[in-house]
Amino acid sequence: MLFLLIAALVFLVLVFSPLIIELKKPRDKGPRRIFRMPFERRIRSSSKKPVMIGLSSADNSSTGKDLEDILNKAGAKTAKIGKDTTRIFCDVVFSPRFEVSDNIVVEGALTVGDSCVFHRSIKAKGNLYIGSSVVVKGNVVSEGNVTILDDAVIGGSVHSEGSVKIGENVFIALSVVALGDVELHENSEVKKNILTRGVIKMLRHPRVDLPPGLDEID
Amino acid sequence: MFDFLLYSIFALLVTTMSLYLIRHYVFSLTALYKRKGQPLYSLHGLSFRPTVSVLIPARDEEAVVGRLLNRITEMTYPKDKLEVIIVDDASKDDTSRIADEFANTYAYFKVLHRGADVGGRGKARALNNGVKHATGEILICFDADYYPQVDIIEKLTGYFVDPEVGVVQGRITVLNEPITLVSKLVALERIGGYRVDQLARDNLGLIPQCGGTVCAIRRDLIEYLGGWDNNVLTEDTDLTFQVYEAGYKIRYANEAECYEEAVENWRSYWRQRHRWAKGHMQCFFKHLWSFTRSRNLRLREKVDGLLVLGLYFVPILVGLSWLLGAVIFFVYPVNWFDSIWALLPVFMYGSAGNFASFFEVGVGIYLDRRVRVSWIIPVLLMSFVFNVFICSKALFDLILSKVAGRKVHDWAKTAHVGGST
Repeated sequence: MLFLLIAALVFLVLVFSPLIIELKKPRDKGPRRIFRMPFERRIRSSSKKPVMIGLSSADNSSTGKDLEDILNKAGAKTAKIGKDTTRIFCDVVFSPRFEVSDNIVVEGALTVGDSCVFHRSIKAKGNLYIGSSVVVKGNVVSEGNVTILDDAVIGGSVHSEGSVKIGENVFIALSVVALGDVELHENSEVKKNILTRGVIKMLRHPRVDLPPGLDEID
Repeated sequence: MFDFLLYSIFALLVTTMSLYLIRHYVFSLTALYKRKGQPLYSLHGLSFRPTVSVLIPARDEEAVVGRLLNRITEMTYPKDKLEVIIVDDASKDDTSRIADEFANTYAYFKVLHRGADVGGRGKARALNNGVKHATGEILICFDADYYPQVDIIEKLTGYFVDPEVGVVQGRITVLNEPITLVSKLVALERIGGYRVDQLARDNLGLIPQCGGTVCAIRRDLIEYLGGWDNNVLTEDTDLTFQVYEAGYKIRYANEAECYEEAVENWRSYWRQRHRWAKGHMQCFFKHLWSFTRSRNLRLREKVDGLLVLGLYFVPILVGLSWLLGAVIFFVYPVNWFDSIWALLPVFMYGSAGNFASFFEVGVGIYLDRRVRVSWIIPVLLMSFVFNVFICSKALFDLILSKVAGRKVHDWAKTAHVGGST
C-alpha cells in the first residue's frame, strides 16, 4: 500500500513538474538586459596544488610512454586515449622549454611555461594559460578561459567556452571561437575568423593576468 | 516462497522500467531547458579543414545512390580536400554503373567493386574495405539512401578541433515521412531519438550514440580499433562502446542534418528492427564487462552506457511484467485496491518504451515547431507492442546461434525505393 502511494506520488511529480516550471517562467516584458554567462562558476579546477611537470632538466621533452612516466612520477593520475593522446586528471603546470609530442587533455586547469613546444593539440577542462613564445602545432581548446602570452604561435584554432586574452605578437593560424569576450593586442594576428558571443576588443596594452604558479617555475 | 519470488521479480521489473522512465524524463527536460552552446564547435568548420574521405557502402541501391552522389557534388567543402569512396558491395543491379559514371566525371570519386565471393556480407565488411583505400584524416559515412545538407561536412568536422573527440554524429530526419503510417512512426522515433535523446545526452556529458551513418570518425581512431567488427550486426553500437573504452568522446551535432529514406511497411520494419535488436544484444554481451571496468569513463557515463546497452531488453521486460502483472492481479487478488499496483507496468510502459517514449517524442515535436505529426503519437503504442515481439524473437535467435556456435549472422539489408524525390 505504501509502495503504491510512493509510486503514485513520484509519478505525479514527474508528470506535473514541466507544467509547474512552465507556469513559473518569467513573463516576457519587452527588451531585457543582455544575459552574460557566469563562466567562472562552471570552470573546473581542483583545490589541490597543481602538478609540476618537467622541473628537472632531464625531463624536458617527452614522447608517448615517457610522458606518462614523467607525469606519474610527478604524482599525476593519467590515462591513455587511443595511441597518441594523454589524459591528465588534475591541474598541471608545464615548466618552461618542455616539449610534448602527444595530444594533451587535462581534466583541470593547465598552465604552460614559456617556450614550451606541443607538437599536437592541447585541451583543458579548466582555465588554460599559455606562456610567452610557446608553440602549439595543433589546436588549443578550453572549457574555461584562455590566456595566451606574447610571441606564442598556435598552428590551429583556439576554442574557449569562456573569454580569450591574446598578448603581443601572437600568431593564430586558424580561428578563435569563444563564448565570452575576446581581447587581443593590436600586433597579434588571427589568420581566419574571430567568432564570439561576447565582445571583440583590440587593445594596445591588454591587461593579461599572469597565471597562478607561473612565477614558481621560472 | 513462490509468492515472494513472484513479487520480487515483479518489483525488479518495475524498478528497471522506472529507471528508463526517469532517464527519458531527464532527457526531455534537458532538451527543453538546458541550451548549451551546441553550434559553437561547428563554427570551426569555417576554417578548420582536414582532409575528408566520404565512405558510401552500397548494395543494390540503384534507386537512391545517384541522388546521394549528385548531392555530394553540390557540397561546399573544398573538393581538393574531399575524397568520395563508393563501396559497391556485390550489387546485382545498376548501382555499379551509376557509381562508375560519377567516378569517370569527378576526379575525387573512387569506386571499389566487391565481387560476389567477398561482397554482400554486411556493412562492416564493406566499410573496412573502404577504410583501406581512404586517405582522409576524417572518415564520414553515409548510407546510399541519405540526402545530406550541402555544408554538413564543415558542421561535422568542426568538432575535431577537440583532441578528445573521436566521433561526431549528425541528426537524421525522415525524407519519406508522408508516405505511409510506418514511415510516419519512424519519423516520430527519429524526432524523439535525435532531437531530444541524443542532444540531451550530449549536453549532459553522457554517451551520445554513433548511428553508423551521418557520422564522422577520425581515421587514426578506426585504425587503432582495428576497423569495424565484422561479426556484430550493429557495427555502429559496437563502435560507440569501443570509442568510449579507448578514451575518446562522441559528440552529437544537432545542426548537421541529413534526410534518410525510412522503411515504409511493417515487414521491412520488422526486418530492420530485428537486426538492430539482435546486434544491440550482441553488443550487450560483448561490452558489459569491459565497459564497466574502463578507466576512461566517469560513473554517470557508465550508468548511461549500461542503460543504452540494455535498451533492447526493455520491451522483453515490458512483456514479462505485463504477464506477471496480469497473473498477480487475477490470481492473487485479496481485494481490488490492494492488488491494483500490479497494473503499474502497464502505465510504466507508456512512459518507458523501447524507443523514444511519448513524452520525449512530444518534446521533440514541440522543439521542431511541428504540429500535425503529433496527432499520430498514440499510434506509437502499436510500434511499442510490435517491438515486444521483435526483441523477444531477436533474443531467441541470438541464444539459438550461441548454442549452435555460429559467429557470423545474416545481415538483413533494408530495401530502398527512392520514391520520395
